[in-house]
Amino acid sequence: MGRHRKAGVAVVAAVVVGVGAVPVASAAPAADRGLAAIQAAAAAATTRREGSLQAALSQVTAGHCLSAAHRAKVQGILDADLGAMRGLSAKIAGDTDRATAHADFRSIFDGYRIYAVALPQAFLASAADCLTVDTLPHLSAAHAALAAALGGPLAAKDTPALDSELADMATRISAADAALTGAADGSLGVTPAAYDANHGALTSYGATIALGDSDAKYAAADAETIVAALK
Amino acid sequence: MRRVLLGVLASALLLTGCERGVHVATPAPASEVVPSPAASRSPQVNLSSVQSDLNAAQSGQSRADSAASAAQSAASVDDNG
Repeated sequence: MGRHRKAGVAVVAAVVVGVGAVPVASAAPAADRGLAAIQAAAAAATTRREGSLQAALSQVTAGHCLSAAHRAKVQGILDADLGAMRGLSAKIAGDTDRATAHADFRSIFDGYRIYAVALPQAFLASAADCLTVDTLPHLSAAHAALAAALGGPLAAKDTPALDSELADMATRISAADAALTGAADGSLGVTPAAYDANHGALTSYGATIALGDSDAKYAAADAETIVAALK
Repeated sequence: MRRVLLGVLASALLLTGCERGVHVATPAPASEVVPSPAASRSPQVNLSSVQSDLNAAQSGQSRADSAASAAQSAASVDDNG
């Protein structure tokens, strides 16, 4: 196996496992602000979220990885949140009572968790589907072809080491499939309320996706080792 | 702070688990490899077709890595959720 792969695997694992692990403070403290200050802060917060949601909608829905069902789910979540941010922005701008404005302001964060839940779960689902819909089928095809080659026309080049690589490749593909099964659905099922109850609600899905990703990379490295030996 | 430490710990555990032969998940037997449209076609000895599959697999992984990175970036926004 190509040992050089481990560095890349480590990077991906470190990136994905951190999802949801970032501490989120209590809702932005605006209680001691005046109405105008709350409205200004709300405008900034909603505008920022609208921009992020629109960018994510373009990125996620334009990608080729998400299954149709997951694409619809992601689009539904992001569209709903985008509408909610626009609605809150307008409502808070029209609020005439400071207490009401403050409650509305808090709901920007507490009610939707755009950065803590909606956006990460959309991207995690996309990552999982890229691996399950795209990567693993191709690795399975490569494994089948290599197995056929080593068992037939290229049997003269077969060695115990190559057999071991081939077996490891199959194990890695199965392990990746097992790790990724349900990861997209699970991450898309996390709600703001679930996140508030457990800030690590998305972390486990990020970790399993990272595990599947690393197994897929090892499987690919196994295949490359075999191909290089057969050339 | 505690969550940051937990994140670091989880990363360390995961990276350790990534070492070859040390698996957290129990791998299914090779015979249970999930069939797929790509896998179900007739295996070809042509190594170039294998390389094409590996290139496609890598392309999917690159997109997965980008999406995972985007997820992390969003979750890292320090803006109260």
